[in-house]
Amino acid sequence: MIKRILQNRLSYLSVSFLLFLAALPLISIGTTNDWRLVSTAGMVALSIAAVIPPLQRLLFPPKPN
Amino acid sequence: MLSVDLLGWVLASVPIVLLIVLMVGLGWTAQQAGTTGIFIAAAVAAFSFETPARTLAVASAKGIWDAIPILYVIWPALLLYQIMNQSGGYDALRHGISRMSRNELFIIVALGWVFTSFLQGIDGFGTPIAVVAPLLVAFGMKPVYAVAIPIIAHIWAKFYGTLGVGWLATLQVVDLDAATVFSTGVQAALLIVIQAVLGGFAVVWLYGRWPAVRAGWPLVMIIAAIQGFGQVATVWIDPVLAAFLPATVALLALYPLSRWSRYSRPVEGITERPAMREDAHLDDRGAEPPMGTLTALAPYGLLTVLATGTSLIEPLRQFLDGPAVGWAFPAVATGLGVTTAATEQYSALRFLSHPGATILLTALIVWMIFAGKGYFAQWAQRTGKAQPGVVWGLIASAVPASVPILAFLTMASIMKHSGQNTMLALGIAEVAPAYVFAFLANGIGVLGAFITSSSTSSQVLFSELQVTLARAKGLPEATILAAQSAGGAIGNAIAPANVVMGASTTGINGQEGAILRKTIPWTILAFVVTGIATVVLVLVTQ
Repeated sequence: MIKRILQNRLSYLSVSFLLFLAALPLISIGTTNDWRLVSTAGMVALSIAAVIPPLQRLLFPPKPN
Repeated sequence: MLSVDLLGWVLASVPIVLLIVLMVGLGWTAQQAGTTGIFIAAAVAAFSFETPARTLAVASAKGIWDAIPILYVIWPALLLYQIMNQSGGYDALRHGISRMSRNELFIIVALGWVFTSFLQGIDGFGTPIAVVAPLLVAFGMKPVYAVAIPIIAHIWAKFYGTLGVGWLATLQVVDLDAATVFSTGVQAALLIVIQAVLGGFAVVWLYGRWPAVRAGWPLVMIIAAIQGFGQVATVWIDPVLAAFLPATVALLALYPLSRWSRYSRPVEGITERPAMREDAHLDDRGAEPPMGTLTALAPYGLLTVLATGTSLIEPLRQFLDGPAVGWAFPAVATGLGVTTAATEQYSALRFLSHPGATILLTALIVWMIFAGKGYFAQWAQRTGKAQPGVVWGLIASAVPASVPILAFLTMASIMKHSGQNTMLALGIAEVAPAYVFAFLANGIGVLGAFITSSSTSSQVLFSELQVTLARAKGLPEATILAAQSAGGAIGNAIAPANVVMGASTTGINGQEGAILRKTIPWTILAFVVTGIATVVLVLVTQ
């Protein structure tokens, strides 16, 4: 399933986009109230969001023109 | 306070250098380069700037929030783009503009420079690029040029544009006496004249190289004089209107200029038109659009009326300025002593008075009317092409545009919270003698705008530091702050968010590096000329 998502540009970018958005409230609420679990969940979401595009390039490098 | 050392300075520059190398040198997409930049900036922050995980988390979340005002323009602008594109609106505009003037060069200047600047006078956050780039494509321009031209052309209106937002932000962060403030305003406007002149010539040169420059120089000089010196003059009256008023006068001046025989007849002698598609021609008709030119122009008229009204009618502006949203964040620090205070509502977004609200309202009204008149179905029938639908088209174009903007702003926020930005600026000041620093001062502004994709953010980030450095080096504070302001505007020509926004509204996501290759040479030229002018101003005012 992950392979299928990474092969579709709009799919993997949508996942990345949604994870970026999800990270914001989790980190804000987690760090402001000192709820470690919540802020860690936010950082995990952010890390996955950020790793998807370069990972996609590494796993499926563009064909040379 | 950070202490400057060579290793720290080199490491702080790594995320920026890598971003440029990945995008321009290796052809990575903005999505791939931007998100990689987050990891590099975070690694440098953690290992070299002693930034704990909690600070990195807060910085990252603030970066995501910093991107929201930009996304709030991109999504409505792309919605308007999809509506116009799928209803034949752009083709109707192209037909109408072809009838207005037979001179292609004049039309490129009018749309790509004058109209773009007018939009920047009232709106901001990349709106002029998002609106004008697809118009230029509809007119037959290659997408890479259609993005590069409005980006370069609207730079002169960045600092005083959006009704003086850059100027007002600067006053918020520096503590200067009234005379120095006034001197800063005037000197910044004088330095920005360079951007108006270079911007105009860049537009005609990109269109048709030297033959176009020979044909278009009187037009460029007249419009640049209106914009540039009009801005200098308006600063004496009210800096808030310093971009808006001359940009409006330049727009009005197009009518008499279009009657001038030099620009009313088809342009002659321009054989090479690298910016235009091979098949682009003023006489090219194509399928007959379902609407007339006035109907196709109406969304932009409505946008102008709404943007002007919500900005200039004071009671309405105050009302719309009321509701605001923002997230709370705790105070954070680094091991090197860089601290950031806690906030109850970080960078509150006034979602009703933000330019995104005006574009969204315009788009929704236009969508309703065009759908009611059956333009979408008629256009699909006449072209014989099945349209993807407005909502699907919006998602397919806005999501790829949103990811890199989120990534760039997150990276910028990490660099800011860890002290990497300050280290870069302090390092330049440390090694540069006074006059060399005066020359380089606008480069710090360029750097700030490149990192944050915003001239206002560059002002907030570096204005106070520039004033401190000017005092330490015995240079006039007003001149150095003016150079910072000019540089903050110039840096927008290579600001990744602008490039991504243009690429997404012209359907060339992933070709951001090609756009940057067009705007980087202009940025370097503007930086050098502004640097020389700054040294001259220092000599004159000291």
